[in-house]
Amino acid sequence: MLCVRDVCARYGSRTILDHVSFRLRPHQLTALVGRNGCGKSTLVSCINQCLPYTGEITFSDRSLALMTDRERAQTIAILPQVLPAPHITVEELVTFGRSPYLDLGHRLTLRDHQAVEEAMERAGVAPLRRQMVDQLSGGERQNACLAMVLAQSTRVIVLDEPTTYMDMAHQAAFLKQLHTLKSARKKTILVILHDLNQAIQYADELIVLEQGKVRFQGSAESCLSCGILEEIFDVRKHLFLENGQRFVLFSAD
Amino acid sequence: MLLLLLCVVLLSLRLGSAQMSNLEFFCSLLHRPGYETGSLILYGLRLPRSVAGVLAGAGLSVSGVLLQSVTGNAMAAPNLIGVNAGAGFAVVLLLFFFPTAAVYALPPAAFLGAFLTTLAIVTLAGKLGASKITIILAGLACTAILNAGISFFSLLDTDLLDSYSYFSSGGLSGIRMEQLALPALFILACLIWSLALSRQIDLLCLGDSMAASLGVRVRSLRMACLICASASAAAVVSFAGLLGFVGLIVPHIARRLTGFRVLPLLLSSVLCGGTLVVLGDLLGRLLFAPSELPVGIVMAFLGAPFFLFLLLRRRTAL
Repeated sequence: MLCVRDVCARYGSRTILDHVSFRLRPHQLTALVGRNGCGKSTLVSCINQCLPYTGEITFSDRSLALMTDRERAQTIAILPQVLPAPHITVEELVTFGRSPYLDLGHRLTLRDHQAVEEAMERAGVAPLRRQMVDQLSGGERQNACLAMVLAQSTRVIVLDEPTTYMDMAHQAAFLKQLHTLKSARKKTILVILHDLNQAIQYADELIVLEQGKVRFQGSAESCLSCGILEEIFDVRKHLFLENGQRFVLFSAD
Repeated sequence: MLLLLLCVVLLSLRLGSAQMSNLEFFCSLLHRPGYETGSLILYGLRLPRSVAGVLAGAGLSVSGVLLQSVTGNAMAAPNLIGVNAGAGFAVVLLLFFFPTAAVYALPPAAFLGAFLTTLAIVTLAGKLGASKITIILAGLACTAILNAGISFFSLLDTDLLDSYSYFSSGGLSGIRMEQLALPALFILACLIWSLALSRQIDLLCLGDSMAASLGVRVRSLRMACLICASASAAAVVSFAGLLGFVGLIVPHIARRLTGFRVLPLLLSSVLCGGTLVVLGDLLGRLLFAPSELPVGIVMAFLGAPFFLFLLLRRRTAL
């Protein structure tokens, strides 16, 4: 599985990631949380091999840095925080997800078409297939991007703040979708989230990053009980029960 | 579109300062005895010009499509990567130091000047990270230096300006078929290379990080496209001089016809560019016949208003 070992990254003289190490648990949804500027997106860039780093990032004990670009793209799909809205149809966008599998002639096989179709159905964008991506709402566009990432058919998916441009209903639907994916499609998902309530509610595991260092990795339950979130984010935790179900709410002081 | 190009080429062969009837035209085209003069005009003068027009349009359009795609800048054109300034500077140097050799040495000098300048810009941009903005800034800096060089040598030798002005306005008159073989090979190779890279170039519209996640080696692809764009435009500059605006406007026209995907865009731009330059050359020959207006000037007349239209439309969109 995806393993980050002793990774350090810097912008000029400023250290952004300081000996970061963690291992993702297979078929689990892991949320990476941390304050602004703690190095979350830098970590995603390192996994994407877009930034130089020291240490090692491996998948099944194979270094990502030593894989070919094609091989890596068949192993890990990464959805960056900001994605431009190109003037192409949703179907064309989702088809881009099959790029790592195409031969020199760029022809889509039956298997590629099936993967595209299935990804669009699963992300709920099949009815929008003929619509232009730049004419979609923020939520629809993010679902279309999720479909593209799903069409990539990788075992690991990394999403950098995917719910930023969504309203609350779309955010909940999107995160539920991720929850379904990890169990139904056996995907291992690492998602960067800003909303602690969402992270606790949907993630199986949490990784807490502070000033480029991993301060905590463990289950959502143990993260709640150890009080690390209150310390790092300077928030207060409220627990309440409704219809026998326990809810957690964080509020800033 | 192919049909339109063929019609324009046929029209360009048919019309010119030497008048001929339809019968004369077809007999000359078929090399019938008694029509040797007509055949000479068609095959020796008008056909090389038409072929040069098609090649110039195709080469500059391929370059424009590649540059606009990899820099994500709708206003990008071959002059952005120093093609015009590089070729111009090399020609000015040649005219200044070896004026007698200029007739033979001008095409290779223009090609080398344009290509080497782009290589310098690409290397500079590469050292700065090869992002979209560094390419544009490195291009602007190198272009400014070379333009200063052109002005400097022009001041030292004012006669040089007369010889340079025809090259800088871009024209197709007096072109011979044998001059076109090598540039045609370059342009064809660049077109094939671009078509092979088209799928990867498409992915750049999703941004560098997403393209990298989909298996694209973004930096290498951007460099390969810049070199290809430069070789294609430099090949055109070597026989047609500094033809402006084709590389800028044709991709925009083609995008309206075939959409944003690079493969159909490249093919439609080649046909569209060829049609536009041959048509521009034809207009230049006919408007003030028997005098000729270089195609570069005609294209500037057509292209500059279109450029302003683009700017105004962008402003409205903002």
